[in-house]
Amino acid sequence: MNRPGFFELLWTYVSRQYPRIINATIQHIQISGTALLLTLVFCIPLGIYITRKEKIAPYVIAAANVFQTIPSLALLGFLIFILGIGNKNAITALFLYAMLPVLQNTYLGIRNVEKSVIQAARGMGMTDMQILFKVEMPLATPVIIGGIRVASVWIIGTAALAAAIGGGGLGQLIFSGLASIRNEVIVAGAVPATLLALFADGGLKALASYLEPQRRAHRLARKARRIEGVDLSADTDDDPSEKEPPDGET
Amino acid sequence: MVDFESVTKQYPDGTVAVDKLNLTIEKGKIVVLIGPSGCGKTTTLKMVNRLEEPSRGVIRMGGQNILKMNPVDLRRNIGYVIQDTGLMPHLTVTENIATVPNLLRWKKERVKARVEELLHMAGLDPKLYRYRLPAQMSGGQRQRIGVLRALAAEPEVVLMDEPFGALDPITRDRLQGELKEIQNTLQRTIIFVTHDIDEALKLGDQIVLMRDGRVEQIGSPEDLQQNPANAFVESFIGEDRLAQITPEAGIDALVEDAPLILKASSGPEKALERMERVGRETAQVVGEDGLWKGMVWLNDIKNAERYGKPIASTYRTKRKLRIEDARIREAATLLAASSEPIPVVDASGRLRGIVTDAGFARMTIARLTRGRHQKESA
Ligand SMILES: Nc1ncnc2c1ncn2[C@@H]1O[C@H](COP(=O)(O)OP(=O)(O)OP(=O)(O)O)[C@@H](O)[C@H]1O
Ligand SMILES: [Mg+2]
Repeated sequence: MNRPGFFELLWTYVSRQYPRIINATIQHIQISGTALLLTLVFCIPLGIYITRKEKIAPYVIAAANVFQTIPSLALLGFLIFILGIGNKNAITALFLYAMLPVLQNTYLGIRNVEKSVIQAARGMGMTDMQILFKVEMPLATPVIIGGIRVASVWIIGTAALAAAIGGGGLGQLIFSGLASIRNEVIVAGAVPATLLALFADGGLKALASYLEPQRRAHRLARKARRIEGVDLSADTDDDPSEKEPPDGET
Repeated sequence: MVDFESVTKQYPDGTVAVDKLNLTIEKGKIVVLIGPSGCGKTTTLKMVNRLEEPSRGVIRMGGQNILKMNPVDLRRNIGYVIQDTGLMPHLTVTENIATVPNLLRWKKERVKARVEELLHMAGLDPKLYRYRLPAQMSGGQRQRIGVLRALAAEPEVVLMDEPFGALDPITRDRLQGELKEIQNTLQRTIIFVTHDIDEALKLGDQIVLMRDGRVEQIGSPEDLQQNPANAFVESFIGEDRLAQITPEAGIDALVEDAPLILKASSGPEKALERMERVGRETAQVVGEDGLWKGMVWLNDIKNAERYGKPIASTYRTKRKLRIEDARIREAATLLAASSEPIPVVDASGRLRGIVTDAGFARMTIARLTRGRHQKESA
């Protein structure tokens, strides 16, 4: 009458089935990664493009918003009619689903770059491409990364549903656990999926802070000091947050 | 160096920002464009580096129609200081200053040397500032960096759009002095926009006074002051009050509005509350009849409140100036004894305002800078 406890079951399952879990995790990464890549490759250029075509911008964003509003399961189901069953369908659905944050943040990030900065850049003789890559993109980067963070968490979470339409990934474990009412199988699928989302989010956050202008200036200063042996201590050793301008000028 | 031939700019919405402008700018001179807000100064500048293109007319640089030049090359050969600095917030001071040299693909070593040279020229220690971001600099330092950035690639022509706007008078004055010094050695052709007449008189070899897109008068600072072409020029330059100020002059130019006036009928609590709310140590009291009753001090009123006396018991009436016959010398003597504001009344006993040490300092600074200009150009 000694039924094994939950952790015992989980342990048994994991120690027997870990190749399956690892496989599912890899598949999950592949599906989410492909979907995220697709989102970036499509939405960042589109977001930039619509800053140049302000008239169509609201319509493009509204369209992306529609996909985001459809319940993801319904979107998957609907796409079966077009793409059939499997990973391709799942990736397409995830991509459509995650378009909005990247598109919108790219658009807003670039549009909110101060006009005076762009005027100055053009006035100094930067070409349109130089303005985009040397001024607008760097200044919009924090906002764009913010959008990518949201998209990646959505994608990784929703990718679990791919199994519902015959795709792979950690969703397979979750669904089979649900079907056989085995909590340990559900957990073996859900925990890695959660961890993946946390890692992606944390990694992107770290990237954003690495790219911060203040951090970058510090790195430059440190590098110069190493190379030249110049003493820049007055400039680099203290906390950057103390370096606000002394007067409240705009 | 730069010639405008009957240049007109009409924006797509119909605004005529510049109307048939004719102007010849000589090499090595500072030409100041001045006029009320919206008169077309910025538009005129932007047509020189083709951020805007004229609707009619021709602009030539070194004899060549600028519309025939490649705009990107043209701009890299013209320094540009934008109205609100427009520094790149994500780049360091060094990178900001080096923008155009980098676009021109100067060698790394040359760029570096040039940046150091410029920072020294502006009195900024490279060791300290090289790797700062614009956000880590004060407003005045940022504006200096804006000017250095425009000078970096040694352009023949430099456009400056209110480079020292939004600064306190003292910093502004210092930067103007620095610019004059730099100009004395570098001899660039500078088109400088401002709406501060003192700045124009101080810096300009030639002043172009504009209104509603049209030129009202072009001439040297002396021309404009001595032979104003019309009433508008005259009023814009001002009736040169400052030049006439001596210790024996009247105090009209010094009088400012009193910031806090109390009614004689208000009780001590009310008076205290108002003074504490605006953070003032002193206030002027005026009666129902509109006559000045006296000046009160926060501490005196506190005492009056404690002992239940009316504020009338705390009026101070001795230290004051009469607008009709007070001299600047008197005001200076009173302020030297105590830096508190001095009430100013007229013969009928009405309050006309106050004289403060800050106002006195402002006038002195304005007068000294103006005086220096006149000496220099004499
Ligand atoms: N892009 C634009 N489209 C339409 N009108 C414009 C545009 N830019 C400026 N104007 C108008 O042209 C006129 C001249 O503007 P400009 O910016 O040249 O003035 P300014 O003399 O530099 O003024 P300020 O001293 O306030 O900077 C103004 O009436 C302004 O509203
Ligand atoms: Mg302007």
